[in-house]
Amino acid sequence: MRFWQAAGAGVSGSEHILFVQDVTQSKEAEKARDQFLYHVTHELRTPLTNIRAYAETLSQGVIDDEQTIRECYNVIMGETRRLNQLVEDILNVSQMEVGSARLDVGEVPMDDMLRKVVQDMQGNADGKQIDLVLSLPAKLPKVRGDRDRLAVVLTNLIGNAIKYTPQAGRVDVSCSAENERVRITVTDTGIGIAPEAQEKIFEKFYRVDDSRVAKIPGTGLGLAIVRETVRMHGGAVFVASTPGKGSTFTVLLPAIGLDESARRGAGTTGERK
Amino acid sequence: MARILIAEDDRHILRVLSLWIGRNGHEVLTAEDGLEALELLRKHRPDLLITDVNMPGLGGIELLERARQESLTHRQAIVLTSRCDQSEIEARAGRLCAVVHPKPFSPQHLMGTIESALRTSSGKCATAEVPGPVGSAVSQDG
Repeated sequence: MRFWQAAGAGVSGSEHILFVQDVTQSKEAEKARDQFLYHVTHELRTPLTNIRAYAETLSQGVIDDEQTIRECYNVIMGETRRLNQLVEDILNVSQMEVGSARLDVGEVPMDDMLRKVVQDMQGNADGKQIDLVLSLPAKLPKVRGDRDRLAVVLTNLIGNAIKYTPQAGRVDVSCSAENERVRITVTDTGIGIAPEAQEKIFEKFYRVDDSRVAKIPGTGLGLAIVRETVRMHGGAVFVASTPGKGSTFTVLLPAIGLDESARRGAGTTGERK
Repeated sequence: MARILIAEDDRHILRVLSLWIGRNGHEVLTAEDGLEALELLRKHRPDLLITDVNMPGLGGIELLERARQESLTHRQAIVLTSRCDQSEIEARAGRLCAVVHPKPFSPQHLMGTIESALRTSSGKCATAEVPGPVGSAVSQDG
């Protein structure tokens, strides 16, 4: 659909000039801005509501048992962190979209980074009795990229896999080299994603309309950041999923200094953290 | 003592409201989505409904429409919302005999509204606009 704006002006007597302008682009920008505002308002107000309500509960002496008082403080702390993460995510994704985000490029050994991120996420997995398994080849080329931003990509993908996988499930993280690229896959035995939602999940603030998803905290920006970051690195991200069975997210990143033996995919080691 | 149903998909909000309402001596029923709330309305006929607008499965306004259609609640209801299109929500809620409390709200202030709604005669909402035939459940994001 296209939008047109028309304006008329009389020149003389019966002569008129009609100006017609294609305003589709500005209309679409306006719509995107409205949607952004709609989502940001909603996402900011939810943790603010909790902070205010729990602070008032404490200040008004509504409760007197130690355990509930501690629970109130924990909610306030948790919601403050959520608010902070939301602000960080909004800034991140906005900078990437307008092209003002800069990559601090260096050579990144993905195997080391994956070990570190998996180690960091181990506590989350243990909390749900989820097996978090990392498999790495004997040799892996490095990626030219921004170490911190790529760590966010991996943290978001592995964190999501743990979040959306029920208790006692499994999350497999693996990495391999192929055709001048490094392929990272994160596979879970989680709730899965309906086919019609699989493209939308990379959009800002999109959250699947599912009561199980609604109960899991999230800003709806994690996968948008993943997509934008991977795109900035000249890579790609995609998902394959079966509802009720699980999902696999794959990230492809350009490799550097690819070793021939790694390119052939020789030797894979399994690591259970 | 009244029986109050809270429909809200954020468990922290649900918990804090339960604390305040329970402390005031009322019985609290909770639902984490609109469809669960509809079932509880049908089963327990609470004295008062407090509902969030954006919920999975069935949104709060649609829940209220269904409740009015089926005469499951007769008192003024309370609608909570964090949406920026508040005036539109207020207009729709007003037609369904509900007051809107924008988020973030003061629990103390909300308790005042709850007690006031409970004191109000149930006949006061007889003029609520009951929508047409029941359609399919409307889903809302977040």
